[in-house]
Amino acid sequence: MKKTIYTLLCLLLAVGLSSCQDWFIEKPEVTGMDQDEVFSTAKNAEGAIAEAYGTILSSGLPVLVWNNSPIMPYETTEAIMGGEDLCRLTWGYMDKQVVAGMLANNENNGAGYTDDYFPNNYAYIRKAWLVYENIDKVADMSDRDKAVVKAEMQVLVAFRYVEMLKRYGGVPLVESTLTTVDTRSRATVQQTLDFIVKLCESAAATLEGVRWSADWLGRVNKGVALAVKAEALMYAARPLFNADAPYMQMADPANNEMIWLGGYDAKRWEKARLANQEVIDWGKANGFELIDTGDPIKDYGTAVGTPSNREVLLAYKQQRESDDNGIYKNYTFMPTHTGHDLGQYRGTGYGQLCQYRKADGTDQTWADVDDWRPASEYRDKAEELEPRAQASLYFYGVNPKNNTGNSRWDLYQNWRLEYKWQDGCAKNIKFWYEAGSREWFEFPIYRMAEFYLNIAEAYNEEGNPTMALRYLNDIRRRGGIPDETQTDQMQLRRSIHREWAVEFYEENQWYPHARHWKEGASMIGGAKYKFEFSQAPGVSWNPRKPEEFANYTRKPSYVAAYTWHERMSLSPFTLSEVNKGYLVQNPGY
Amino acid sequence: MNPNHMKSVFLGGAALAVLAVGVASPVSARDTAAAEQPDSAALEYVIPGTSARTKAALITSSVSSVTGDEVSIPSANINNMLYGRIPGLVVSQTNGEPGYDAATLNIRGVATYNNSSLPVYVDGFQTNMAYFQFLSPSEIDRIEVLKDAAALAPFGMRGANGVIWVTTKRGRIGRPRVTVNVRGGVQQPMNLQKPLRTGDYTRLYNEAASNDNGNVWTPYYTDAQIAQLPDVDWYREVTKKATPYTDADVSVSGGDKTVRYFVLFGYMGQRGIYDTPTNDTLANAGIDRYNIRTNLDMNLFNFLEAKVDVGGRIEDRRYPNRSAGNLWKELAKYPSSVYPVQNPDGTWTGTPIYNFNPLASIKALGRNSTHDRTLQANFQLKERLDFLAQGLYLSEAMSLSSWTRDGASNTRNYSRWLDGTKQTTDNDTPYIRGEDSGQNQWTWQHYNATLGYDGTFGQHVLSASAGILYNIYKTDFSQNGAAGKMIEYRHMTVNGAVNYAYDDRYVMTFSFAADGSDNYKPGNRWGFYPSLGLSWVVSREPFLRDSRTVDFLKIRASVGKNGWDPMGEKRYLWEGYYTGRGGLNTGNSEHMWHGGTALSYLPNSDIFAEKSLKYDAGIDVRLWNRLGVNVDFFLEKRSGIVTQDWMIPGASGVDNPPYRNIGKMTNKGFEVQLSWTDRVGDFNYVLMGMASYNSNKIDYMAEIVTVPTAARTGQRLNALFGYVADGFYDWEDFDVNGELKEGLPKPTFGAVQPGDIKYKNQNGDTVIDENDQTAIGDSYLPELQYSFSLAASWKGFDLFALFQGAAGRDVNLLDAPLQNVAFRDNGNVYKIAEGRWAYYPEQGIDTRATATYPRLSLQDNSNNYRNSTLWKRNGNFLKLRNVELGYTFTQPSLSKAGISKIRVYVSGVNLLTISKLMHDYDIDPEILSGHPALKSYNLGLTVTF
Repeated sequence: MKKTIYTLLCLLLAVGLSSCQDWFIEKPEVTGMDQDEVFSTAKNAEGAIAEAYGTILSSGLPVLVWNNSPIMPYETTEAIMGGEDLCRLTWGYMDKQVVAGMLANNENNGAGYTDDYFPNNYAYIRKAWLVYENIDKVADMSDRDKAVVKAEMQVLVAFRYVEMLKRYGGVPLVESTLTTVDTRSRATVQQTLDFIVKLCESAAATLEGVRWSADWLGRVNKGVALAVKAEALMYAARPLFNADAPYMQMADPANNEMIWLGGYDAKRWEKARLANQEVIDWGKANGFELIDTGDPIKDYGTAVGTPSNREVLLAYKQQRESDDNGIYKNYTFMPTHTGHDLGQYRGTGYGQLCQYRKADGTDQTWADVDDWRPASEYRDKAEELEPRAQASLYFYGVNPKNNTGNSRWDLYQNWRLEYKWQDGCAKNIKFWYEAGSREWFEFPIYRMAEFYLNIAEAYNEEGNPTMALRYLNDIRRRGGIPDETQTDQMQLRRSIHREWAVEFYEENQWYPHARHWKEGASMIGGAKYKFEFSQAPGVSWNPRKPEEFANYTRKPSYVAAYTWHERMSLSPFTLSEVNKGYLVQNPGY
Repeated sequence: MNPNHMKSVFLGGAALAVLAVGVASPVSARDTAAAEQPDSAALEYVIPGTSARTKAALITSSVSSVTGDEVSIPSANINNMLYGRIPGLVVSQTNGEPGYDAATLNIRGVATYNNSSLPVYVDGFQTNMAYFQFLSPSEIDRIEVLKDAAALAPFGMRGANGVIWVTTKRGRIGRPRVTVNVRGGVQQPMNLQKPLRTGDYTRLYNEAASNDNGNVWTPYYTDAQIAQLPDVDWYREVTKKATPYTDADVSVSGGDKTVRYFVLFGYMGQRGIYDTPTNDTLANAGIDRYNIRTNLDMNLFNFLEAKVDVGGRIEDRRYPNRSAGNLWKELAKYPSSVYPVQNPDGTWTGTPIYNFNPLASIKALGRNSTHDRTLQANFQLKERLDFLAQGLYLSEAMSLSSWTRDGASNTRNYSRWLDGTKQTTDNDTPYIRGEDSGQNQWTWQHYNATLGYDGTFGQHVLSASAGILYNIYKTDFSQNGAAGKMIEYRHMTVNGAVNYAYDDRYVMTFSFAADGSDNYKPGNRWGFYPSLGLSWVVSREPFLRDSRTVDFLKIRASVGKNGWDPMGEKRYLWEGYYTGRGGLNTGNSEHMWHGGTALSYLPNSDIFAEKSLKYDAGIDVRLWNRLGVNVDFFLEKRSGIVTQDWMIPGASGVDNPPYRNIGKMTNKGFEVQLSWTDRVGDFNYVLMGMASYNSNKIDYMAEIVTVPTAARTGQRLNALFGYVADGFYDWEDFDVNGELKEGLPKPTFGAVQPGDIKYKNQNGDTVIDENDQTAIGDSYLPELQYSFSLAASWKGFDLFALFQGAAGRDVNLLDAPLQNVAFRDNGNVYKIAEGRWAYYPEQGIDTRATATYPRLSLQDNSNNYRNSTLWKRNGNFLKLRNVELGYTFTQPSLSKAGISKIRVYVSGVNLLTISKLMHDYDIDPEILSGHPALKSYNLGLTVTF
């Protein structure tokens, strides 16, 4: 009997324990948040939406990302690579990059000598697709709101694809969150373009009538969907893709359509123009327009420097004063900032300075190399420049004109306005119009002025200088310079290019334009100059006030010359990705 | 012995040669001890992790062991007593700071590039290494190292890296036995690698400044200035010549058939080497440790046995309020000329660049202390079920262990002055009292039930057990990845073993574990880990039974599987966790911030424990009743190493790829242990030698190969990669403009000038760049560890000496940049830099022909300070780990006083290091920088009542 009881007990114990084995090792409560939780409420989902916005819109900006991917440091911003700004940073690899030209190597933690870390594009796009695919699970959100969120995500994806189209040509097209076994190979330029246009058109339809309340400003509206499409079509029309032959042959010529549209088609200009016209028309009906009140410094300053002004369709707003690596500290001069400004090493290049005309529309001349001239001459010549130069640049010894009356921006009162480290000929203060003590700015991603210049460019290429001049002069007039009258296509093209340089200084337009206009050799390569100043007698500190400067001259910049190679027309794909075998590298790398 | 032969041994390369000449140590590990008594009747060896038993001589697995008394040397930490004691156990110390000086332990090297930690079991229950390392050796009966699959299978997915299995002492039937151990001595740094003093510093500084100025002789310091400069030996200011060490314990053991007991009280006190008092506001480094252990065995009724074990401990540590890491960096970095120790008015010196005057760091910043409590309590019941079947039993056990720490501090700051000027914004502040209620605390809970059976049928002996173990580990240390804090580790095992022996000749052991972990997805939580071990005692065969030569000969082999479910790594990799990342601003002039949420990594529902397949073959021999030989060969194939799969195309958008079971490594090697035991008249001696060799290789690690010649895959783990240095650039390599001549490959790391390192152009292109990297050296973990020892006694005297060495390792001097990279970042200069390249004929300086070090520079010369063969050094060494001379009194007069014996002894620890690095540069090849290891001279007394 005893025997039986024990045997039964043992059996029971064994059965009992084995049946609840999984109960014993159930995962305990954790404090982490899983995917179901993220998309359980609108408030939680906001985090995923914010993540998609914040990452996708950072394209081309010197944002230090928060994970351990290679960083896109401030040195490789397009404004420095294109020579708009010059930099005397003696560490890092900026100097090597502009001398060697772009390269697919393992510098910068594997990102190479380039303007982009390719895998980040898809990591960010995936964040948008994640929201797109899961937003329907959110309980406390209306169907209309969900549809709008999806359309926003489509536009964000399309935006990032335009950025890639500009840099790489055709790229792998990813239309959802892929599993780890899925791969996509490179699409052609045409396929990439069609993909973007389709996303934009679909989103534009859904976004019809969406107006964000003041506290949600910064999210995508229909105008942005139209703008992304307009930009894509504009790049499709420009000579790099829209040509009789590709700029270089791919290793396997069968792949040429990854970098080229297969032939020249004049119709592409018309299509691009119409798309840009649509943006302007939509803007006019919805409160987005060129700011032109007849006061050029104020109008231009407001358009580029005032947060959420009516000329900006979409801006990168993700800067926080607490964020030590915000672009406001590195990208442009912020005189009142007390932290470690990498921006203190950079200044406006001589090439950019010469793009600005005098207010009467004629060209300005400056000191020659090693030709020491009185610093007062520099100041006088600076004062002669057109209003947009006054709004964009701080000339050493001349009080900045974009924050007049503010003591922090007064060189007699703020020692931080000293001339100390800078390369270049002046300091870029463009985005700080009437900023006062505000230590952040919004980087304009789409600003209405660009659609005017796009249309002018398209009309000129279509052989319609009259219409081209009308749109070009809208911009010149707002900028406070006399109208252009040139009707010769070549001359007018040059004039439009220069207008881009002046109007969109530091807005990441110059570098991609140079590549797509096939003007890299003239617009990017070549000698670079800065101005050097000597101190007045008895001045042993860094000069700041006019009387503290003695003379100025032109000198070769820290990097005396930039190199342009034809291969740089498009960027190299990140080497480690190419080594994985699913990507065909662009020619020349 | 041929002296030349010995020399080669001392240079560290040829452990096998040592073994061949028959040097050995008295580490009479169980293997050999047991090998002497194949006929002992009892099934005294319990297979770890199970209750199945066997005769020690018949073990089929690869297990080595050592007793607590054998390893006991005057050292604060058990880990540091294990050098050269156990074949297959790799011991490497990287820090000598009192309280944090534990050597890292690895069994048979490392077979994974992930977490390679070793699980430690004390009295049958898993606990933390921190619990093990401060046990008193006097409370330890035996430390076993389980090495092969047959020994490790019962541990399932905690077994793949090997297991340290510790049993504490228990009482035996007999009269009470009291043992008192007291020993004490002084400790000193094993070495202090000191920088050059002011005279040499300034001389080389002037040269560096000139080198940076286009090789134009432009000294920075004039002779007059040099004469005015301070010349402080910061090491001498901060450290003491010697510091005391003490340990003592009293143990009482004994018992009868009903109750047996072992009780111990132990103390260990170690002081640091800082020259500062310990009081309310200051503290020398130091640790005091108090151990109590009570182990009870009870026979309650004729069928019921009980065990109650309680091991408790308090550790008190105290330190100056400047972490040892920083203090030793500053000692290494601050030149002797920066400032005097103090200003004439008694204020502390300091400058913005050299902000922490090392002496002020121990005398003016205050103190920190911590108070740790550790307790392990085990309770076990065993019911004999002989009424069901003779030999059947059931046992239940539970164990709780925990560790908590709190801390207190009394800290202040001081103002830095030099030449009457305040140098920094630091001010003299009053003391601030701080308290810290503790973090990183942990607990273990274990519950176990086992059913077992032992039976003998004529020549057949069978012992088997099957058990269930459930345990929970909980820590508030954040080591769980995105899953969060305060998370339990839940683990369950159904395991057991069947041991069958026929005629003490043929033995088979089957052991297994079905192991489940909460770390994996439901439905994928269990793994099965079987193993089979066979042994054949050849010496029991009729043809050898009467041999006079062969006393014992056993051949054994095993194969089996283990797993590795690491602790302290990212958890629940099958679940996607979202964490805060970037974010979005919206709104007009007043932005509203929306924090972003992003996936930490892509989940992988298939994730599981690493897998290990192990093979082992061994032979245990005893000849002429004198020579013992134990040899093991092993091969391990590790697979499923949890690896983030970077091979996933970037276009999939997975910025943080999933962790997958894709990594593979192979590890193989051997262990040899030889002993010679003999006597000549009254002179008894044991010579012993052992060698442990392992060689590993990474077979796959989802590596993105960017430089094919420098791929980690296919190489040894932690192999050194870099450039092959090919001498130095000389004047003739440059044209008149100072540019490298045409045809020479151009380095891309920065401008070069004469005296900079020239690298070999591996790929034949026109530049020296990252593509010219290649594997240039071994790992810092040795391929070979060896030891040899002598134990001898003559009348009442006894002598013991243990040498331990390592070979097949390289060190990278750039791992200790403060000592080896001269002047960089306002740093110091050491003896190694005297070998620099320099050419100033007018000053009589021309070292070009003999240079071993690149030209000096005050800048961060990025061409020179890259991993290259120039910075690689052979890391082999041989150390005298312990030497002890004792005398035992056993006079009858003592026994009248109730004393059975008294032993007095002197001993020394770490007294001698033979190494090229030590010889050339005063560098301890084990500890390249930071707090040095300590050596000690001690006096000891053991009284047994």
